[in-house]
Amino acid sequence: MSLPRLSTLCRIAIAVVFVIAGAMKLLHPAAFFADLLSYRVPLPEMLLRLVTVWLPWLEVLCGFGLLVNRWPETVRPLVTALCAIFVVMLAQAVIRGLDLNCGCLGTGGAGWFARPGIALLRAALLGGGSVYVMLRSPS
Amino acid sequence: MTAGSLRARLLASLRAVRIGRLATLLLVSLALALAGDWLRTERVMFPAPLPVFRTLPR
Repeated sequence: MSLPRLSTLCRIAIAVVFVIAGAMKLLHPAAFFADLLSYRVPLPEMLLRLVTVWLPWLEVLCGFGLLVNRWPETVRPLVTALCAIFVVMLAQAVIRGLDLNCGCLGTGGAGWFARPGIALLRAALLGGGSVYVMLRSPS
Repeated sequence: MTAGSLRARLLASLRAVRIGRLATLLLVSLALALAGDWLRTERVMFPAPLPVFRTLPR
């Protein structure tokens, strides 16, 4: 497969994941907030509430931006930054041995698929793909 | 690709970000988030609406 094609494929795959993840979180914000609380990060509750309502919309917008390849020089680094935050959050949960649902797909992901270790692997793959897409020229 | 060139390309990508567009993305998503939360019954950010009390007619 040629490199521009691979880059386009990666971009579309990441876009679809972001749109679906954002939409699933939008459906049940209270459940997503409970998932965020279970990460036990030392942040004010009000900030976590803001993240609960803000992150899904940001994911959906970034997903659409990637999908239609709009504002690539801005959307791609933003997606990479979001993936980096996901990796850090999940890595600290894995290191601390927290037993939680990752909340990546709202209430849609449950069981082994939502375990922190599996979610960390997914986030790392997503992050790697987003770095690859970011470093490629807009295609 | 060496580590040095990868770092240089990452930095170049970050420098290419347009602040105006980034601010637009962040502010539009924030506005949608706050409006969405205000309009739904299962609120997370804003306090839940107070119940409406009605006086029963005699």
